[in-house]
Amino acid sequence: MTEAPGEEEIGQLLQARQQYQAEAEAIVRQLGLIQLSTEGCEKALSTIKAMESAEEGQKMLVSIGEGSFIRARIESRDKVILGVGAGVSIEKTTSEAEEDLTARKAQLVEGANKLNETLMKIDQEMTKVQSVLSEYERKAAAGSEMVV
Amino acid sequence: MSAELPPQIQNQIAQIQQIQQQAQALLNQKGQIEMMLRETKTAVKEIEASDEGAVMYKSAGEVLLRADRSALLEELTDKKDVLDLRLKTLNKQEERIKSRFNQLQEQLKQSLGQMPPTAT
Repeated sequence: MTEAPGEEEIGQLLQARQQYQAEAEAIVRQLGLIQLSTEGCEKALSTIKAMESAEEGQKMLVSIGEGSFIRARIESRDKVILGVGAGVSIEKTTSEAEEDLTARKAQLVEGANKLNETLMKIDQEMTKVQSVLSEYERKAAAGSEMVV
Repeated sequence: MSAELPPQIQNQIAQIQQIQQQAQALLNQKGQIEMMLRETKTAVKEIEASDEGAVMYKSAGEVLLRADRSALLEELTDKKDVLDLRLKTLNKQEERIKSRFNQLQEQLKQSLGQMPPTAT
């Protein structure tokens, strides 16, 4: 196969490599987003856990970003308002919220594992394509040296 | 290299590139709609699974406003229908773009096949 590569074959290999690279980059971006969501779930779960030991009416500080806070009091420690997507949030008991968030996190981890598997396969394919291209390059270089 | 090609072929290549850009824009749009549709369906399921008297909120900018369960359910069901329709329209457009792309690619192949061989 590596005997005499046509321009078309090399073109196809280069195109395949480019395609794999684009796919790998898209997956890495998606993995980054999944990582952020997973961290969000973990943060929410640890906050719910911490609320269990808090008292109703207890003073607290609520983050408003950039390391800044406003004063607040806990009105209810057994209810959590959980975002369910599309701009909708539903009030749930802390145990329901914990259950939902844990399930969400598990889904995210599963999704990340699948994407990592795909990424590994793409990487293997890219290595194969690259080795064929390198072989062609080596032969072409050897051929031109012989001519000189 | 394209300077050596006849104007007709250059024009065909430009058309193919334009179609590719259109296809990419369409795919991005489709991806966004699909994501919104998934999110809306999940929210509808969550509302349906909640009790009649469940307390719920709707986001309005940076704040959450208390919302009526049935009104919210109706609003999201309507939104889901609209998104479904938009997705169908985009799928049809995608089919049209694909067929135009194949047609142009075929024409380009034919034109390239008819080109006289270059002297080496």
